[in-house]
Amino acid sequence: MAEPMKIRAQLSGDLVAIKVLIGHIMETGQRKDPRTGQLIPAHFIKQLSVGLNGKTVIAAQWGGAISKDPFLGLKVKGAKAGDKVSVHWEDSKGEKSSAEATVG
Amino acid sequence: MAGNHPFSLRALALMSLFAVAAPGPAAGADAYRETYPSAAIDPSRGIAGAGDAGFGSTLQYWQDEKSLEHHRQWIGDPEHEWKLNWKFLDFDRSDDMHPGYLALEAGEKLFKLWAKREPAFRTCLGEGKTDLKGLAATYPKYDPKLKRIMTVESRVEHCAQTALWETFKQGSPANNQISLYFKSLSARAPIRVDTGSAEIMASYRRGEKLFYAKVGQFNFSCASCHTSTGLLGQRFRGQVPTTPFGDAAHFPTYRLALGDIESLQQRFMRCNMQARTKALPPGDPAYTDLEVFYTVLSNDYPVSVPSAR
Repeated sequence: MAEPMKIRAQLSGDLVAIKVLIGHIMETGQRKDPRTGQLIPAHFIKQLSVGLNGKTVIAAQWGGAISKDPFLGLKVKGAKAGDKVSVHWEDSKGEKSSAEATVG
Repeated sequence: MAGNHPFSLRALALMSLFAVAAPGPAAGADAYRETYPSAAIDPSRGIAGAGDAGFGSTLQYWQDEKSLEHHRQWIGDPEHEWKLNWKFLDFDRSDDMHPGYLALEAGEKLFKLWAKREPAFRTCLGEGKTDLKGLAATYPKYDPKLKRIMTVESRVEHCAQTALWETFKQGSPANNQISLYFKSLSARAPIRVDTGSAEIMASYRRGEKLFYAKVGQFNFSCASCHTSTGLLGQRFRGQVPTTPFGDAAHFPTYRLALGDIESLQQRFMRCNMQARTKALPPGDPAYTDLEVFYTVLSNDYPVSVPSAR
């Protein structure tokens, strides 16, 4: 089950600094379980998008090289207080998660 | 044949017993072990306990918020960064986002689940109190009822055993998560290990001995890297060793390199393994003594949980 995301959107002028912390195991699929010798099945975020008021500002294609519990930071111009930031991701097992925060 | 004779068999058995027993005392406590020259540390002064000026010379840069803020420009500078003792990674004060909070959330969920199912778990952790705020700052402490020194982790293990009939072994994810949550309830409270207690001071002295004792294939002691006569402040394995003062304050911590929580005693294990020494299991009396020693050196420094390293 997907853990909740933490989102923060801080405004300075018309620039909003968005920080996203995602709890995800990000398993590469290349590690072996030392006890059984079997590969641990891959489980990582494949698609991630961040939207500002419904308009996509970043769409990322991630892979197994991204670290566990990934942290994403970006800055977007032309935002104002009260805008909605939404983050959505989908992983290699088809699990989905999305969360929203208000710019302030 | 002589071997068939009952008397000689008994004699042989006795002799072999003697052969096993004889080197016992010599190979035990009094075995020859090299020690590192000891530095003058005053346990009653906590983080300011460095006797000679060189040993605790970085204290002025990280001892409080103001000095950390003043030297903020050092962050990211490999020449000076180590002088801050990595204290700028104690995010509990700056309300930042880091994976330590994910670990904290998991711990809070787990603790609340168990405390709801069995309220005795909460009172056991609080030794009768239901409000756990600020209690973890006094650990490790001597428990007169159990007649041993309790760390936060061993308290969680003990309470899980007695109140929940569950085994949360020290070093296990469940123990680490609950310990992290328990310690986070004391965040910003200054560490107050009771140095007036005779049992704690006896443990401190044993831990101090271990700090200077050279062990393992590399013949390293903790002091080889973490005192000013050693590698303190010099490059080693691509890193710069820092002082042992204030280090116990941020454990259990989220280790970015592991992607998981690590307790102080698990950190000792990793340290031992890197110095090619056989590591002890978490909760071993020797590690408890070392934890007492380290935590006394963090006395007066605020608990900084959750943190990330």
